[in-house]
Amino acid sequence: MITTKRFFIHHSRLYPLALLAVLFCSCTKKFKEYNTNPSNATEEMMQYDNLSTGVFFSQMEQNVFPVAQQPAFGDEMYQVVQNLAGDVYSGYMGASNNWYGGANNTTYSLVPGWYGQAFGRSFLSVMPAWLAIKSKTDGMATAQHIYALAQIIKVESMHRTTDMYGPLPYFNFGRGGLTTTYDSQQDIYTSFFKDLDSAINTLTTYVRSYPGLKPLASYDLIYGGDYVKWIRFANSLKLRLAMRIVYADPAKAQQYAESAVNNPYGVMVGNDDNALLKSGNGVQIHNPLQIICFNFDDIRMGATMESFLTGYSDPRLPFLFNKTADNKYHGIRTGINITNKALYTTPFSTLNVASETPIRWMSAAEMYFLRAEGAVRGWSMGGSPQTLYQSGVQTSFDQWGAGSAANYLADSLSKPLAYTDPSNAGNSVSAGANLSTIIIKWKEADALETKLEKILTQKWIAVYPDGQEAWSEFRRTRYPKVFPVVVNNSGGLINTATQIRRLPFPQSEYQSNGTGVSTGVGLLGGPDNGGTKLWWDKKP
Amino acid sequence: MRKAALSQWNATLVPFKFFPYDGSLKKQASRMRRLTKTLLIMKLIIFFLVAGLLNAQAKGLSQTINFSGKKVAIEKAFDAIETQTDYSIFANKSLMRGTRQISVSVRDMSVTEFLQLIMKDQPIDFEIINKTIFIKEKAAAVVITRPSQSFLTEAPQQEITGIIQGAGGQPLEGATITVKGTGTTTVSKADGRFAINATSNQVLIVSYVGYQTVEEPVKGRSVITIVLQESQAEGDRVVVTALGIRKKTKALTYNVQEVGGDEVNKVKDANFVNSLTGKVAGVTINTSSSGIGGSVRVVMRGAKSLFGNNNALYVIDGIPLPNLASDQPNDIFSGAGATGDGISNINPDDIESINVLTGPAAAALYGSQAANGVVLITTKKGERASKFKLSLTNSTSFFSPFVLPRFQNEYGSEPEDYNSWSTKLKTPSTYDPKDFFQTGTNVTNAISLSTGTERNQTYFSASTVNAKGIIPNNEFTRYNFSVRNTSSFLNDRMNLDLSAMYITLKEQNMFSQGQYFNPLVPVYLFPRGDDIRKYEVYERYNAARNFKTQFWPYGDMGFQMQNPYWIINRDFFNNVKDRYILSAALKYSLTSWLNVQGRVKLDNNETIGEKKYAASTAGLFASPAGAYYNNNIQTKQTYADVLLSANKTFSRDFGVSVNLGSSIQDAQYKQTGYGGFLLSVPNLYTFSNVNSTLASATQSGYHDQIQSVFGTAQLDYKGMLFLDVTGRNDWSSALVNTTAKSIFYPSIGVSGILSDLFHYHSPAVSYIKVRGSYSEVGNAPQRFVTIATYPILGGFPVTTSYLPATGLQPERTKSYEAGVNLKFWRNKISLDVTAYRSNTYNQLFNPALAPSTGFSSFYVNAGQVTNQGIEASLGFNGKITRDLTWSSSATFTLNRNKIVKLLSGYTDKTTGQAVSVDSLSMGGTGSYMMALVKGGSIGDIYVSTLTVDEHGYVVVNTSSQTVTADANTYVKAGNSNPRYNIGFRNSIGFKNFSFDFLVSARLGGVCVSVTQAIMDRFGVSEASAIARDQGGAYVNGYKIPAQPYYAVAGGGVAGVGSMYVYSATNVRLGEASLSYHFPGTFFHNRINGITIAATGRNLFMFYNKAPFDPEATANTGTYYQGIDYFIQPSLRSLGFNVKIQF
Repeated sequence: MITTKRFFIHHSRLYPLALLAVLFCSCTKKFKEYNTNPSNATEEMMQYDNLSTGVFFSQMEQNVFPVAQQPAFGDEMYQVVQNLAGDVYSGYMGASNNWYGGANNTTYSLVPGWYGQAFGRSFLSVMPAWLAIKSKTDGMATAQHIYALAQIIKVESMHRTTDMYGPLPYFNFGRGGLTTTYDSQQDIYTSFFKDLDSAINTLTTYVRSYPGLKPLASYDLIYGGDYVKWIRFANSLKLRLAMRIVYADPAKAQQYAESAVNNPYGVMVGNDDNALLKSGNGVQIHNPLQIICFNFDDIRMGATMESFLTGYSDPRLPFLFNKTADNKYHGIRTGINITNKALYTTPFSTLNVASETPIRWMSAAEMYFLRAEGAVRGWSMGGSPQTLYQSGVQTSFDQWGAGSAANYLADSLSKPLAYTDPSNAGNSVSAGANLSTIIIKWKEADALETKLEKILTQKWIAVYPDGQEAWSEFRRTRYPKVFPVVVNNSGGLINTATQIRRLPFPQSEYQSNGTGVSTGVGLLGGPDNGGTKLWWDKKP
Repeated sequence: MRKAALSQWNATLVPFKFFPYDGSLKKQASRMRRLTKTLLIMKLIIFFLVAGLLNAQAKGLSQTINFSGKKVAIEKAFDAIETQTDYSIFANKSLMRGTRQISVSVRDMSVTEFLQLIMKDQPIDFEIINKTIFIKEKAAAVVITRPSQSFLTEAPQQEITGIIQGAGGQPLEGATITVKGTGTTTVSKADGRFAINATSNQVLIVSYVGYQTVEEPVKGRSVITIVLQESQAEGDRVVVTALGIRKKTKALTYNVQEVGGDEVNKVKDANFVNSLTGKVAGVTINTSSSGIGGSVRVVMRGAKSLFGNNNALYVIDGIPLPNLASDQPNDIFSGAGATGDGISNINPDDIESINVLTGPAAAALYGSQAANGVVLITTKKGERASKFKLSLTNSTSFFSPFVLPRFQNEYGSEPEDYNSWSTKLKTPSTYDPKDFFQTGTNVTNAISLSTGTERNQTYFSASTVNAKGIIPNNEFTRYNFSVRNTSSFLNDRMNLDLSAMYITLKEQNMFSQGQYFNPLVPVYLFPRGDDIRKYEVYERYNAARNFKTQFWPYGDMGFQMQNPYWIINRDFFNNVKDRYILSAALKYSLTSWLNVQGRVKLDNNETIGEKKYAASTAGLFASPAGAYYNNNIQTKQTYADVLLSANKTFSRDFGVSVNLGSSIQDAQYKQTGYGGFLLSVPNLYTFSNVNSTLASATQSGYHDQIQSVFGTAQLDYKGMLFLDVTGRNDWSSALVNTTAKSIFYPSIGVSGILSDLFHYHSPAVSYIKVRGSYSEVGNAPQRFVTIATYPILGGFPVTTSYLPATGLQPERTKSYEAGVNLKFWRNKISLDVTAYRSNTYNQLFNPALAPSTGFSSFYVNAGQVTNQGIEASLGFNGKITRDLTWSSSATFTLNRNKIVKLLSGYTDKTTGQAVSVDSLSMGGTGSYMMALVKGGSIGDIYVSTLTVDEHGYVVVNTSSQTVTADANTYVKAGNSNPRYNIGFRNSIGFKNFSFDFLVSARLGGVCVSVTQAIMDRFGVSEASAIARDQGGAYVNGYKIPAQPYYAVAGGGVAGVGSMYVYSATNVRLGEASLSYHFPGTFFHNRINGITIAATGRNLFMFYNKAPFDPEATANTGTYYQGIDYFIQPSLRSLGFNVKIQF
């Protein structure tokens, strides 16, 4: 047996080894650096240059219409969120593809992987950015103008979302719970007006105190930080939302519409007020429709669009669509049986859209038509129905560079044309209940519904290509007469004649927020499918 | 008969002259010594350079003995040799009974001297062969009998030469050859050759430790080949365990299964892991459907982690390999451009042996990486004191699809319609989708060289793999180079082991499944009324563009379909990998009972993945000019450890061996990628031609580090009872911002040789060992999740998608196992049975959050999964007649997995709301979904259904005679995992022939085929033709029109899952080989022998009801299992091997 002392004398060469063992395990100082994702910005970096407030505007703006280029997935996102959810239901466009053997959104066999995306996009991309701005500016009196702008974009984004689904887990968003209860569309709309009013007030105070100041110029892709334009946008949005609830709450609709139009900054009046998302500040915005139409070959002119625009010999037509080889325009009807994609690509009109075409959130033309509708309803809209209607058409012509609309507005003969599907005669629409007979020329003597159809039809042409807004207004007013689907694979859940009224709540909500979504279904007042009407969808 | 004829033929030849180099070697000796010294200096410089580079220090084992003992059993001295050196000792117990106690004290004595010292005046003697010391009875003084002249006329003495081989044809060095009844004796050399003088009527006795002794009559021959059969001396075998620590099997307290290197080379696969299928109990192996060289899914004792990695850890020569697994397809789209995992890069010819540690206790020394079990690979090194050895092997295989769905060709299609629902064709179409496949080939050539002296050995190998898949233009090439040098210095006190491997490989168009770039979708569904030959010319001159563009008038059909010939000829997925692995180990003996070793290993891998889509590829993937993507991944792993080993004897009965160590493992990963649609010049695949406004630029990386200290102690009592304790403490960089600064992982085990303890030895039951162990190991937390950061998208930071996690802990698996090892009938039959139970808790749970939370997921420690099961192997090793041998082994695997809980009782910090999650979807195809449900198992498959009424009958619309799909109801179809796995391996030897075959069976489990669903919808399946022939599809026992029925059942995104669930049970002839060994004598001993073999893999399905091979998987991860979405069929291979040994 050797003693401990002897051990150490004899084995002193072990010392460096022991030391090494200790050293090995004490140099963990760099672990924090190692465990921080090197490709991402840290909290500390986010404090530089006011990044933590500014950059999230960019995130919000790029997700209202989902154009942010996720690596390789930007266009597909737009396709399922906007193109195959709104655009194909609005009559603007028709799908040339036959996904899942034709059992897809276009034939009312709603694809879970598609219809949940718009919801996810709003809650995973827009709302978290809004929340980040909210928490940064909370309690900072000097930063309330930033929060006001975030509120406006939030309403712009979320009204599109609620108009698709109805109730949303809206007020409790970001309160930290893993499950979130839903709120009724009525309550959500009420908050929209409140939030917009508050934002308009905050920004009005700001621009009066600091005229010409554009603190968010380097992040704002819409107006380059011009708050006056944002106030006008907020009023315009308020007018749009007011009109949306006209059948659900006429009194409030009139009140909000009049306050928007009569606000000192008012609503948009010229095309330079239009809200356009476009490249700037080093951010490349490219229009996904260009890829979806020309690369994917998945979308073409809609049959309803062909019927109206060719019927009206609309001068805007060449600005919206391209002629096919036969020097004509051909549209695809939504909800048809396609056995061979090739039959529905080349013979049909592509969209006149380029990669650089800005994405239009809202335009002045739309405001004139909303005001015209208000005026028809007897509201104080700063003009007669006729002048507002005609200004709307002319503003739309100006927007596309289509010249004077005088002759067009005088046309009392042209009507939408019967539609022929060159690839399958079974999809054609001849004169009858599905074909509108509305003309262009304003006639003061017309009945209210005729006037509404005329205004809504022209607004529909002017709002192109925002199919979601057009689909919402179609649901609200039934105008214009969009061709119904030929093939209805909804299993009886969606009525072919009244057409699809909403999108179901996403499967992910059922899987992870089951109790929450059940409150949403309760507030919906009907089954969670595409046939149930939303709160504002109350036209008798 | 044949053998005798052969011998006669050989007998007429001039005997080969042995050992011609002895003289010249002596002359060179002094020069060699000088050279050795220079080499030593050079090697040391290299070693310290590497070590210094890594900022680590290392030391190593000696070849000398330090021993001090008074009146101790001689076995103690043997134990000292085994622990202080890398020599192993083989001894027969009965021999030891006659030995006396020894009292010696030596320092730094060479092994030989020490053995001579302790065996002085003992009835035993020793012999050192290779690295093994054989203890034998002391022979009487050797008397070389010189026959007197008078006997000459009777039976003349002649020199008999020959070769001693093991059953596998390998030469046995050191076998003792004695002429019966005389003292004439000799020992076989490294190449197995011997020469002895005997008369033609004498008998040679050949004995070799570990082998059965053979008596071979000379019968007038002058050249004799003698094949020895192994006699298993179980318990004395030495196996490699965690960290490369060698242990005797009897001392193991857990299950370790050994697979010899030849087992993975008999029927060679580009990824050798495939060759383990059916040969190891407790392991489930699934081959990736990405073809030759693809990844393999290896899960031991069931999946334990809900969200983490469940694949086994691979360890080469004691050091863990970095995880080079790539993203796996998990939806209906992806699957193109697959790549093999890290382990698939290894040259199977470099493998000496594989030890599989299925249980966490065995792997506990690997701490936070150990929960999933370990595959330990020991690579070859140069052989001691062997002269130049060279072997050349060629292995050539031909592949065809193994299991294909059944097609129809009776019903045609309408023009321009992709559906084959038209009228019956007058003459059936000659179209057969099988014709699309080509005969795949794999030609593997390997060379290995081994040379060495007593102190310095070198091994070199090179191999080439040139393979073509069954899908044209799928190619795989790999070149491996390996060099290893082992040497000992300072009177064998210091050992140095240096090795370098270089691997370069190319993969082209590996695809596993999915819609994108999958030629099988258009091929299987091709309309039977059309003629596919029209599309074989896949591109046509496009006058407007002045080059050839894709010809495919059908469009993408919503499946992203393209002309299948275009896909394989114009859309390319190329991966190029360069990998080098450098390692150095230095072992040094400090004292008589203590040595230290240090090891460092660098493993660097660079992968460049390119995707090139030619102009006129489908618009989803490319602009009219095409598309180009380039992705570069660099992985660097540095590992270093020091290991201090002590071995001490306290008294006659007790021994302690202790290993203490410390390690650092540092892994760095860097990925950069750029690419997108091409802007102007068609088919010019350069960055500058990419449309920069639409380009995607990606960059990611990580740096993980684990620092550890660990120790293991083993206490043994009389070599019969063992107590094994291990502990490891991990400091992991992923633990930053968690509650734990470091994690401790312990294990304890006991084993006892009952047959020795109770002196129970009967001919029927020759060996009884019982063992039990308990361990706690982990699965590291995921990196980055504890520190909130903001990803950058399009130049601006965006909010994170997960709720930042705090207070996380690594997952922990507590497991215990108990087992017995039994030997019957003089070790002819062996049975190993292990029962285990593991409980994995504190799971790093990453449930998807509802989008309404603003996050897609969050991290929390929750979830508990248990696995219990049995793994057993039964072996038989027998000699039926003198020439006929049969060895057989069966493995049995049973595992039951249970999700005890998911998230329960979690209180949300901000709201105080109690949250629980009892089910979670893990994704799928829409018709098929893997879901985690409390009380269920990992791998549970849920499927969508047709609308059924309250009695369970399918609802049929009375007027339209159609059924409807119920998209919102999922029912459980079963589990993707087997209930049992059985492997039955046989090896029959007859003279120089050897026939091996493996039958593997998987019982239980289900799978879903979306391929079948979609084929039914398009009317191209045999089922759809049968339904038409019989006038409709049967629903509720009644016929309804076939097309509308299949439009629903096979419709939607991926059909109605419940209609396409199949039993995954299958039984196959997994491997077979028939080989013949031409001994060296056949070639005048100019070479050492040639072995030729005909081989096959996946030869025949005895039973399989699924329309695909259920053992093939598109995803080698945990989920997306048991699903077929146009997966590439698994491969049936037939081929041959030739091995030439010099």
